[in-house]
Amino acid sequence: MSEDKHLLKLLRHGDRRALRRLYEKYRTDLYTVALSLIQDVHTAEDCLQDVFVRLAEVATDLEIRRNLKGYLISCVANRARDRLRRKSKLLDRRPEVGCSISAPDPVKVMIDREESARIFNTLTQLPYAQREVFVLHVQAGMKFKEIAKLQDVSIKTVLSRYRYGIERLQALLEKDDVK
Amino acid sequence: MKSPRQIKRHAKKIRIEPDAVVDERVLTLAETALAKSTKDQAAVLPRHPPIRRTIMKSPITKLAAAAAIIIAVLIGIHQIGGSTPAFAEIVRPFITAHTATFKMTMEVEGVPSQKFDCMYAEPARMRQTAQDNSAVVISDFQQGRIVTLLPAQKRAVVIEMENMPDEDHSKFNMFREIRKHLQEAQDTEDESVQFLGEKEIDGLTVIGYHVQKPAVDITVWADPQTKLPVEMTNTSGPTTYTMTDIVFDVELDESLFNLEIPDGYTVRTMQVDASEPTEKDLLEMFHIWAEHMDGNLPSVLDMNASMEFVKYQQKKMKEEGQEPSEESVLELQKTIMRMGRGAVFVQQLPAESDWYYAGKGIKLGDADTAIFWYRPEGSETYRVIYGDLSVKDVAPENLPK
Repeated sequence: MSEDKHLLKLLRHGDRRALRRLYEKYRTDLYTVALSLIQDVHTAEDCLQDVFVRLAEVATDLEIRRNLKGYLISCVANRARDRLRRKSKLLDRRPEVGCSISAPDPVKVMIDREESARIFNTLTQLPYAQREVFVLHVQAGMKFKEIAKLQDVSIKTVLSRYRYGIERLQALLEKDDVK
Repeated sequence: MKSPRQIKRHAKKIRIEPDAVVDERVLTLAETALAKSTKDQAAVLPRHPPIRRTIMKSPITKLAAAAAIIIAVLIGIHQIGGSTPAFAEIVRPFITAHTATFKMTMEVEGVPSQKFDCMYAEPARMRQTAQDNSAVVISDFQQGRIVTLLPAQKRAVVIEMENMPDEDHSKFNMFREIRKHLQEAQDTEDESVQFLGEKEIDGLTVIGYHVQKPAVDITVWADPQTKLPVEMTNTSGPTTYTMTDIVFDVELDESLFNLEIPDGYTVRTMQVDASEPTEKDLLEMFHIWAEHMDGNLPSVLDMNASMEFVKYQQKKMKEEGQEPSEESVLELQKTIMRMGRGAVFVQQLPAESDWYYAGKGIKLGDADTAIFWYRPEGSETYRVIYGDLSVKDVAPENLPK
């Protein structure tokens, strides 16, 4: 039995240590995805909280058919999208430049490599659907098929979004280089 | 740092830790929730666990319990927990409704989304009004007629569908097509239906089911309390249709589906062959395509192909300094509709036909290159179409590698 399955089994019986272990194991992955998607510290924290509280609430009935990490990442992505939709109504295909949400606090967001930090900061200029595909595939390691299911679109659409996303990132980073 | 590979490598290194205060808050809230959920669960468990354990030690009881679990799994295959409505309950209104109204958003990759107010009425009628009121499309597939009204220009386009099949109009009517797919998914209850869990739509917690089969990609999100669909998405190639504000069995005035053209409108009429498409239509599609695309054959054979075609024609017009006239747009529309029959032929081929398209980069007239092949139902050989649009029957072992 994998560690996650074992922890879920314990969680179903109300084991707090299992909950803490799962939180320790996935907190950074989930928070990174949430913040990359939303680019707002407080909303990303709320997403992380929502997902773990919900996990605890449904623990006794929870049946995970695929891997737990994938399930939790999907929950974060759904929450992030819903929160962003409510907050900014900017879930169409426009880039979210000028969006009213606050940028991440540079003190809290410690990305130690300059190039990674530039990519993180540029993500906000991608249309949300493309950003979501990029973050879920590259940062969270989700398969395109899983992302297609999550976004309720065909795998071809996901692949196009990924391609356009990467191309746009390239262009934006190059533009930044010129400056 | 320019290549996609480098971007990916650096993006993978992004790791952001939540604040310790956040950790404490999340864990406290999650632990409280866990304690409550396990306490609630304990309340419904038998109060005498020692006796239960004793009983469960009996081999007969174990067998009975195992049988009960199997039965529970069989009858509740899509149910998560006791109170989650099953797929069949959620899609029932789609299958039984006599009428429906809904809002529809049509999204095509790279094109601004379009919104419509829609009405459906049995047996096969639809009324779609663009939300900016620029166009109204009324269709009645039993009568084989589609009327498009453009009120601002006082123009109407009438499409008369010839050779309509007698019974099944589902492939022409979006609502009926969705209904048919949902009915089939519900009947078979196979792995094509997956429970998606829950999410929030405008503050309402909804549960979702996803139906995925060849050429079918439908997601339904429903209110678990009312068991009524809240949002439904149907993806077909690069196009996604999202239905919201869905209301079933509304009283709709017959006049809403009136196919008569209002006075003062200029009318254009087009005839469209609605019979079952054949291989001949596919050959015609290749021919027309090459005629309009400087001798080239399509890069792909899916819904993206029509976008490729339209973009190329727009580019050509621009290069030639032409403004698209009403006449040229109508001609283009007719051409696309004629080619559409070939596309539908391919779309309808079953997975067992093992069809393959290899025409990318090939010019019309290349007699040596196979561009498309498929195995007709019941046939031991494949039909192979070459670049000069000749067709041969070829044994599987002789197919192009």
